[in-house]
Amino acid sequence: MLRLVLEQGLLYGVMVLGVFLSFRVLDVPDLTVDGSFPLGGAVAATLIAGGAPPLPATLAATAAGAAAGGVTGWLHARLRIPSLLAGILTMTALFSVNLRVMGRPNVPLLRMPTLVEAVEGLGVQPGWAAVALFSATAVLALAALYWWLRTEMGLALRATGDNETMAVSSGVEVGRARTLGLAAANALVALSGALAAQYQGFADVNMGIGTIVAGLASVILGEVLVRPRRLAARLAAAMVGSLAYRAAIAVALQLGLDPGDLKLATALVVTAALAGPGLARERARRRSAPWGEAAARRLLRRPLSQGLRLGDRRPPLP
Amino acid sequence: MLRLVGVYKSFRDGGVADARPALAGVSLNLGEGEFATVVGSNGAGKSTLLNVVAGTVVPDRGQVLVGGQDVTAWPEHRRAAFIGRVFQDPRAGTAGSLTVEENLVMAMTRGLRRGLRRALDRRRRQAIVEALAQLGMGLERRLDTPVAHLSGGQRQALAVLMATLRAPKLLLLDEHTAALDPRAAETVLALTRQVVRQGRLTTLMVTHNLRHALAEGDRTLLMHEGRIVLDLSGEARRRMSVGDLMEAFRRACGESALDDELVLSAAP
Repeated sequence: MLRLVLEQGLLYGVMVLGVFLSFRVLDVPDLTVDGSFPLGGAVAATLIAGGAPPLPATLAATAAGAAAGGVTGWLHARLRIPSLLAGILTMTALFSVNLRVMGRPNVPLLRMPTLVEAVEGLGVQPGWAAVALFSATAVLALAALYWWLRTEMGLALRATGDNETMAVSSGVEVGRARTLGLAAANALVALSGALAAQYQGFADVNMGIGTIVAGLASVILGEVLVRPRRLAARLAAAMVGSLAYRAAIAVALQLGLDPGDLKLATALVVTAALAGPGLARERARRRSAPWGEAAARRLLRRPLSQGLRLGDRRPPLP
Repeated sequence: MLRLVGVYKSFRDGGVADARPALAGVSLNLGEGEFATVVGSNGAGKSTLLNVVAGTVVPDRGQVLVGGQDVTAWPEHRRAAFIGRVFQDPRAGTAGSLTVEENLVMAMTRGLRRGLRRALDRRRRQAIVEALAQLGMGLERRLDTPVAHLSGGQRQALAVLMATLRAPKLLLLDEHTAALDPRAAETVLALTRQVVRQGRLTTLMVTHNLRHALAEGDRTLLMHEGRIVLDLSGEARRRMSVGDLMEAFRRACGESALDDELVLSAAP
């Protein structure tokens, strides 16, 4: 079971890094992921089945994911479609694209060379080739993302996700920054999908369902477990979260959870994790503040993006 | 340095143009190194004026020129190369989840092409430490602290530093001390005075405080219903007391324009 958890945790961990980039760094809940994960699988499997060597096929799949993310970014930045809806549109369109790419709903990779087999050929201990491949990929992706987010470009991206007003007044073209970030995020997701296809021996048009929720669950789980503050720790936490999520699933299945109920359970866990901190704050406030004050505070609270308006200067609350 | 020619802006509400435009043909010439304060009641158009200059709002008619160049059609991020801006909300001008030094690097690279170069190297960190030391708040020892952990006053001081780090052609201050407690407000105002003087920065400062409107800078603009109704400078401005300004306000705009806050701000 340990090997299975490592394989899946690291494999999907690459996808989780992509979700971390869009959801946490850019502050965009990007549903493109549910389409770009199978896109990666479809492109890689189709190319390999057509005789291409697995490494170029995997790289092509990654590039296809970047293009998909770019489309979502373009819909959002240029056509001013809300990011959530832009992601849904791309995701939906990708279902047809994936079918077109494969020409059928499923492409098997039986007796075809894959990256997993290539690593087996390097003389890795039998059975651990997938773990070796996926950990190498995961470490590479982590390092690349860490490096990128600390360049001038990466910092502009982080500023955009944190505070658009500040980013714009610092000269960042935020639409472009978001598009770039979404492209990178979906490149990671598609890379993960390409590896998944080679790992399981087929690509399937439905292999992406629930990817975003699994990604979010992993990101949040990692944050709860690691409580990271610095960037390096936050990235590592996403990977830890992915491993923990796959471990939790393995345990749950072992305990007799119906695999069909898995997505419901995941959705419930994510809901609890997203709502938990807010509910806890609310309770703490009710306890600490007298009734009238609590109500007053709720009235005064306002989303950051709106800022303070003229005329609502007020004495700071204790 | 800044020239506005017949700038007109009306906000549409549900498809119907607002009867009263936010800016009803504003023309203004601000010379290099000039520091003008803008005062007026709520809805006078002060913030819209700054937004038009910064590029947040595109005027319906008229032109915006900075340093002789027509920037009316330029998007905001492009104008940011030579415009520094500080907002009323201290959270608006800084990114809370980024550290002190990361925020300053954003200010350091304002208007430059941001590529794949490492954002923070030793040389930049050194420059950041030197800039922060000027604030006298000890922030140079907290380079690694997320800005969200700073107080509102510290955060706004940082925002002022960031807006002026790359010597902008134009500094826009949008009631930037209004959301702070009185002591922090005084600190930030003193810092503003210092950096503006040091850099001889052309500055436009919106305020809701009649005393600040007269005491800061060297020119006072009074706005009402989208127009500049009073333009004070030189001897006439020096002779004017807050009481005089209030009287002028009343004459120019009528009693109703003097909202409570303006009256209160004039109190000694």
